[in-house]
Amino acid sequence: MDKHIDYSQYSYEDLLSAKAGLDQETYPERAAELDKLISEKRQIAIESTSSPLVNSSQLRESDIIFHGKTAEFFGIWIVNILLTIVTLGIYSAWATVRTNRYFYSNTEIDGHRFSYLANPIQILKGRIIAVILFAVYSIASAFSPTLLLIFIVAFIFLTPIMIISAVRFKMRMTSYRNVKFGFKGQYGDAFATFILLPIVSVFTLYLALPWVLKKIDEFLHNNMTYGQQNFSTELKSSEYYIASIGALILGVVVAGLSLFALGASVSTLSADAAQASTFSMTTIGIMFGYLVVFLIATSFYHAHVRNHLFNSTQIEGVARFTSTVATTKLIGLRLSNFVALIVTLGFALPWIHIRTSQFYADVTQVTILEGIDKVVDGAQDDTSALGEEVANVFDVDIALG
Amino acid sequence: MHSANFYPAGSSRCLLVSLDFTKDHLVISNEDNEVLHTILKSELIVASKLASTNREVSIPDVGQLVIPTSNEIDELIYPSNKLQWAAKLESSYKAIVISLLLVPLSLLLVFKYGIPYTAQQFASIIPDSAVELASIHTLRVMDSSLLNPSRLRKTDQEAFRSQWKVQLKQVRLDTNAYSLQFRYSETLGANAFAFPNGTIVVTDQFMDLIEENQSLLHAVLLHEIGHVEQHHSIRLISQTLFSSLVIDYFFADVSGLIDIFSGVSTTLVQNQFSSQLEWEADNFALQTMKGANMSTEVFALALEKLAQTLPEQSKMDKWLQTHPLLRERIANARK
Repeated sequence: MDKHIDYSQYSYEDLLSAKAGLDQETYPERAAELDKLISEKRQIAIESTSSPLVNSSQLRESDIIFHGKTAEFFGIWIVNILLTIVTLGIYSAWATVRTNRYFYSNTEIDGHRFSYLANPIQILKGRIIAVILFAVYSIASAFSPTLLLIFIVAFIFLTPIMIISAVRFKMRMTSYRNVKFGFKGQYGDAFATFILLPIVSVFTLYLALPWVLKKIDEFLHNNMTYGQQNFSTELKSSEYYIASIGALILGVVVAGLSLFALGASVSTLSADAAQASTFSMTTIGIMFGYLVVFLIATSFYHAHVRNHLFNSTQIEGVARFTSTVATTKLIGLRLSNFVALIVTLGFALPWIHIRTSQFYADVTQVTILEGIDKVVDGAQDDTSALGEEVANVFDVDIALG
Repeated sequence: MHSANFYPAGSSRCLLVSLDFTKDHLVISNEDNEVLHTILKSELIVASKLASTNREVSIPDVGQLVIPTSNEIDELIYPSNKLQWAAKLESSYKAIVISLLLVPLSLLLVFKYGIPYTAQQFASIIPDSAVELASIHTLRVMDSSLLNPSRLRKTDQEAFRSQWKVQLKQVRLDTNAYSLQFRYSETLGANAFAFPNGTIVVTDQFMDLIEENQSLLHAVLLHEIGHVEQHHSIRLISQTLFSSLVIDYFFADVSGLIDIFSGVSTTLVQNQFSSQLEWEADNFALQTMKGANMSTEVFALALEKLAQTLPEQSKMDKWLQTHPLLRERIANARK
C-alpha cells in the first residue's frame, strides 16, 4: 500500500486528478509532494507564452438556462429593501450579495452554474468610499467653484482607476466551475480609452464616437480572463457605425412622429379650454415621450452591438459565444418593462429583473470547446503573494448601488 | 447519500460525487465509490442559504461542492437554522406582507421628514467661516459672468442702504448682518437674491420694476432675509445631497431605465422642497412686518409687480416649478 508513486512524469492534469482522488488524511506526504509538483507545473503553465488550449476543437453547443423565478425573487427583493431602510443603508451590501448570488446561481451553462463570491464587507467598504466621495464632491461644488474645478480635474484622473477596479472586482467575484474570471486592464490604456479618446471625438464633432465606443468594448473584453485563459475579441468599426447611425435615425424618426402627434392633441385640447392642467399633462407627456424615444434608440444600438460583440468574442480554447437579440423584441421587452414599472409604482421590479435575465439567456448560446475542463485557476497577473495583497486592498466595489 | 458536483481546487474539472455525512465528517466519494476526501465538518465554508438555489460549499485548498437543494441537505449543512434568518425572512409570507406595507411607508417618512430634518441639522452645524467663504466665492463667480456693476448713482445706492438700515432697526433685526448690493444684469432681469452670509443682491432691472419704491424694496428684502435666517441655501444643498444619495442608493443599481427616473424624481423632490422654502421666506417676511405693525399689502404689491414680468406664469407647470404660483403667494400676503 505504501509504495512510492513516481509523480514526476504526470501532466498538470494528471496531478490534479491524483490530488483530487487522494485521501489526504491517510497519505499526507503524497499530498505534500503533489502540491509541490502542482505548483511547479502551474508556474510552467503560467510562464509558457503559448497556451496549450489555443487549438481546441469544438465539443458541444449549450444554451444558457436561467432558473430564477419571480415569486421567489420578489420575497428576496422586498425583504432586503426593508432591511436596508431599517439599517440606514448598511444592509444594502448584504442585499447586493444575495441578489447577485440569486442571479448567478440560477444561471446555468453546459450543466454548471455560476457563483458570486463577493463578501458583503468588501462591498460595504466600497459604498462608504463612494458615499464620502459623493458627499465631498457635492459640498465642495456647492461652496466653492474653485474647489469644484479641482475636483473635476482629480475626477478625470480617478475615473480610469474606478472603472478598472469596478470591472476587476466584478470579474474576480465571478466563478464558473470553481475557476474565477479576472481582468488585467492597465491604467494607461484605460486613461487613453475612457478619457483621451472621448475628448478627441469631441473635436471630430462626434464623428469618431462609434469608433471610440468600439475601442472601449475592445479594451474591456480583450482584458478579461477566465482562469489563465484570455478572452479575445476583434470588433469591426463598421458595426458600431451601423448601430450608432441606426439608433440616431430611429430616435429622430420616433421623436418627430410623436411630437407631431403631441402637437395635434395639444391644439385640440387648447381649443377647448386653456387650463393649467393641460400644460402639466403636456410636460409629463414630453418626459414620457423622451423616455420612450430613448428606450427605442438605445435598444437598437444595444441589440446590434451585443450581437456583434458576442459573436466576435471567445475565451481561447474554452468557449465561443453567439447572440441573436432581435431589436424589435428588445424594444418590446424594454417598453413593457417601463410601462409595468410605472403602473405598479415600482413593484414590478423583481419581475422585470427575472424576465430580462430570461430574455438574454434565451438569445445567447455558448459553443463549448475542448479546453473547458482543463482551465487552470488563477489569473496571470497576480501570481505573487504581494500582487494578491495589493489586489485585495483594492477589491472593493466602487459604485453606488 | 447525496449526489453533488465536485470541483477540485485549481482547475475547471468537475467530478460527480456522492456525499456522506457522519457525526463530525463529510465523506466525498467518486462514482466508483472510492473515497476521495474525508473532511471535518468544521472546515466546510457553507454559503448562506438562499431561496432554492444549489447549495455551495467550499473547502479550502480542496475544492468546491455544488449540491442540489433538498430539506435533508439543508438540515445537514445548516445545523443552526437561526443563522439562516435572511433566507427564512425572504421566503416567509408574513415577512413579505409586512415589508410590502412598511417599505412604502418608511420611504414616505424618509422623504417627508427624515431628509428635511437631517438637512436642517446639517445646515446648523456648518461653520460660519465656511458659509462666508462659499458666499464670497459664489458672488465673485457671478460678478465675472452674470452680473455687471450697477448703473444706479452711488449716492442713490447709499440712500437706499441707509433707509434699509432704518427699516432693519424698526423690525428689530441686526443691521450689521446684512449688506445690500446693487448689480446690473441683462440675463437675470428683475431679480433679488440672498447669499447665506447675508449679502443681498438686487438688480437694477428690479429697481426699475418697482419704480424705486422703498416699501416694496423692503418687503422683498425681508423675504430674502427669511432665506438667510432659515439657512435655506445650505438646507437646499443638503436636501439635494441627501435625497439624491437615498434615491441612488435604493434605485440606482436596477437598470439604465431607473437612471433617468432618479434624475426626474430628484428634480421633483427638489422642486417640492424649494417651493416650501419660498413659502417659509414669505411667511418670515410677513410675520416680521406684522410684528412691526407694517402693512403686508406692500408685499402683495411687490409680488404683483413680479407677476407682470412673467406673462407665461399661468402656463407653467406648478409641479416642475421652483416658486409656488405667485397668485397663491399674493393671496397669502393679503390674508
